Amino acid sequence: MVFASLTFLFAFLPVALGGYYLLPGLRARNAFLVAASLLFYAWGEPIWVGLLLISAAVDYWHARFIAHHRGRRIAVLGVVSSLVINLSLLAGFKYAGFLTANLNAVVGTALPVPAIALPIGISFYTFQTISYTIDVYRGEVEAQRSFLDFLLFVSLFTQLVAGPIVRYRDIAEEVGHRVFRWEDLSSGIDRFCGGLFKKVVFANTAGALVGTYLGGDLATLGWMEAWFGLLMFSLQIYFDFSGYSDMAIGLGRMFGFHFLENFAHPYVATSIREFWRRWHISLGSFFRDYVYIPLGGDRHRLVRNMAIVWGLTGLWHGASWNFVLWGLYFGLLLLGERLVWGTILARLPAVFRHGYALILIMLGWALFYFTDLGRLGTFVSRLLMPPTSFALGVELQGALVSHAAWLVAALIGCLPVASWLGDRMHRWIRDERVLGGIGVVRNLTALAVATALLAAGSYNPFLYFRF
Amino acid sequence: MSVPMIRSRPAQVVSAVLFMGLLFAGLLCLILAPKATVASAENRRLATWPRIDRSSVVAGRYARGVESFIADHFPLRDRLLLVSDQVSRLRGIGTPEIQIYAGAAGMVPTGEAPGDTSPPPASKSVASVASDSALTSADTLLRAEGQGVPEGSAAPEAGAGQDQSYQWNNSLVIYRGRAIQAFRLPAAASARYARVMTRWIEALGPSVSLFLMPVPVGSDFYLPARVKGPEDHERANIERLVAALPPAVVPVRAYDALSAHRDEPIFFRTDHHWTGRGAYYGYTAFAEAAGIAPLPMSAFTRRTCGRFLGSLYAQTRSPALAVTPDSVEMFLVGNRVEVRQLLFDQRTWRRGALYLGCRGYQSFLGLDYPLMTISSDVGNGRRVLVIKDSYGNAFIPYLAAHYERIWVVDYRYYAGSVQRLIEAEAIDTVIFVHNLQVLNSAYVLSREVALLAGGPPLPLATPSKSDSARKDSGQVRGTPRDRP
Repeated sequence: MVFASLTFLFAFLPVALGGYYLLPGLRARNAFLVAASLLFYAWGEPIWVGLLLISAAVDYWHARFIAHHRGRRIAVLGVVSSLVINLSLLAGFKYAGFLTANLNAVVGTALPVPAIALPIGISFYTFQTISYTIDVYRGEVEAQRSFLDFLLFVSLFTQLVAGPIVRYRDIAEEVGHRVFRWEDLSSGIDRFCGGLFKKVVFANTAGALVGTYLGGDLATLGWMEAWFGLLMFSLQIYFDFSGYSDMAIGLGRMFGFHFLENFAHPYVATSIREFWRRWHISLGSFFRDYVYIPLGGDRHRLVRNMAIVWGLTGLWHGASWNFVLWGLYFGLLLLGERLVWGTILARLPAVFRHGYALILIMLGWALFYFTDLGRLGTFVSRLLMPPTSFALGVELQGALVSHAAWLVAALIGCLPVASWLGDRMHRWIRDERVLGGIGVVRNLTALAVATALLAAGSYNPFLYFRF
Repeated sequence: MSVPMIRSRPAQVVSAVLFMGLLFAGLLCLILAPKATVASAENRRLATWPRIDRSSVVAGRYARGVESFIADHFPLRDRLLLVSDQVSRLRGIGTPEIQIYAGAAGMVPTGEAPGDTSPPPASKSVASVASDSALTSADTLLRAEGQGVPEGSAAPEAGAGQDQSYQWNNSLVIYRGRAIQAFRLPAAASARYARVMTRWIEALGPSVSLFLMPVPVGSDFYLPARVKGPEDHERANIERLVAALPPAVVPVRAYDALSAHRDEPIFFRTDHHWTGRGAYYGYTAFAEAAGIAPLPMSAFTRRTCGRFLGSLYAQTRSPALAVTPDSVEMFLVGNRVEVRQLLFDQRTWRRGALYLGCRGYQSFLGLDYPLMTISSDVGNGRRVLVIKDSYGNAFIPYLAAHYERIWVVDYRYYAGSVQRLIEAEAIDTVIFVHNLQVLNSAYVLSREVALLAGGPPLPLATPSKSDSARKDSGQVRGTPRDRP
């Protein structure tokens, strides 16, 4: 189930919220949340619930094993075994086809390429459980005694399918001891409505335009069209992913959980290094804490460490070489900033640094979009070749006229304008009731607009046949 | 994060209560409100609550069915569509001179039984056997020619729309208050239809005269030059088809007749059909081909009515179309006629009429009934059968001035054997009237070969509704949402 759907908004969510708050006591509520989360996960693809439960059970018992043998060498076995099982699950269900196809290509074997439908959310929840087991081994958190509470951490529907990657230590306390506060519920609603608006109004509209320019015949794509298409994809992926994170954080808060931020206006970055401190923060910090630093970090074999971390970061996004390229591309840029041009860059005027970062980020999205390397090559050549003409095609002209106001709003929406405006409002308007009224109207408008646009998505007239 | 906007306790409570109240209100209305079965503006049936069983749950069909049901029966859906239109309008800074709706002309529904009566009768077992064999023969026919029906293109609008710059065949272009179905299929695509004609000649023999009237959809006439390019795709497509026709089939040059009058309202601006006036020029072209003296326009009683927003408006909901609705112009035939129509159950006959007052394009003959008969007082004993898509409806009334008995078969819906009908009624003239989108479809090829022997309409391979709904609520391709 996806958050930005009528089924989630008007069937699942009211039942989940209603059931949760009607039940007395945290144990009952946790049990209810687990049941709701499993239903959420099973919706449309029930067969993978078993995998989720297995993955949770594996790390629950491994952590218990580690805790039981704390201080003894045997405890490390728990970590190794958990890693082997989790990474095998990931390799088996996410990368089996990719690995086999590449093996066939390199070695010349003719192994049948398995076509396994990717179990939704597997990359997120396996990382969550891995981080938990390692943290228990490192003594940073206590092993959870209740399987139900641990399952709640793993399966909680708010962040199950699209992150953020929540670490157990960040919500360990809240799993067993949450208190209801109106401000959590209210700020959760704020956050959720904002994220929903980002997804439905900005990401979906940009997405509709992306296909027109990046999905068609690239050989005849004009220079302007290519860059416009790439801009649309850059907007789509940001609003889609950060909108989803906002909804996840907001939903978590409605149920009393406080997740860490996952995005911090990444497109205002003035360097690639800064971009990665602002983009998908929970993934970056996972790789930093569990791969990069254990490998030696900055101090020991920097280039090798960077190559491994960024290759893996790319591969995590999908089982295809273009994602690996995308990761390595950023690894290379980060090394360059670190070892070659970083100090020069820092001395340049801000406008140049913004331009530098944005163009490189956008080129990165081209790597991300095209899974077909041939099409990727064609597209990049369209982007980088000097334009023969700046004339706008009929379609682009039409798209610009009919989306001009939206485009301006979307570009402004990439800036931290909401928090700026919020701060200003608090300074201008002292009356809390007025501020509260504005906030309520803002939320309900976002919900209503998103609902209308989602309902219009079902409008589906037919021309040539009657009924 | 910044300071939250809602900081006072009472405002927080109000916010939470209103938000949750709205969600619950939506849920309650969804459960309690009466459910419509048909969306007439969209020309389709609304989703029904899916049947639950093990396999549908495991395969995810049940969940998709529930989502389709919720989307189709969402409270205030019509109002929300209007809100959505308004919001979409706010995105721009005006209306572009040329609007392009990619893919908008290519939607077909799932292959449910059509109609306003019950599903086909139980006696269809014989018919379905006939249909199967007919399908097989159509398949064989196509395959033998190395022209297998491409997968997933059994629908009339699907086609091999490869074009140089843009794949615009399924696009609608709105230009100067008119919605135009961009026709961009390569000329060779229609030649396949000539083989259907060959099959009919083989089956019927030389005693029956066959006429084929390919009707353009207006793309050549009305697309802005920047979109259309130098080539007349419709003309080229028709010429290629005519060149491929067996000599026994007489082509009707509707294109030329229409082209000469392109500045008159021969096509609706908001609907995908030609008008009564356009069909009149089609009739003159037919008369010329058949050696009949056509009546002058003045011989008919002209009647206009209504403010009509047609299917292409429904498709795009473009305000550029809404400001200048169409009106329906009819040229009434003076003869006394008796019209009977066979309903979609393929059994029940009902009295009909040539003109049904002010009902948009349905003013002509009404719906696309499987079979109609028209008896005219012209008193010359001439008999004709018209096999048509909906473009035939505006054209057929003119024939009542020249033929005493007219049979009208809709190629999609008639389940009986047309060959038997022709033999039993001693029909000696058959006219095929199809618009170019239909003539270029794979569906018409198999269906019209099947019509000879008869059989219920073939199931259509169509994009399912839930697919398109999911498209909208899905995620960015390749985003780490763990979906391919």
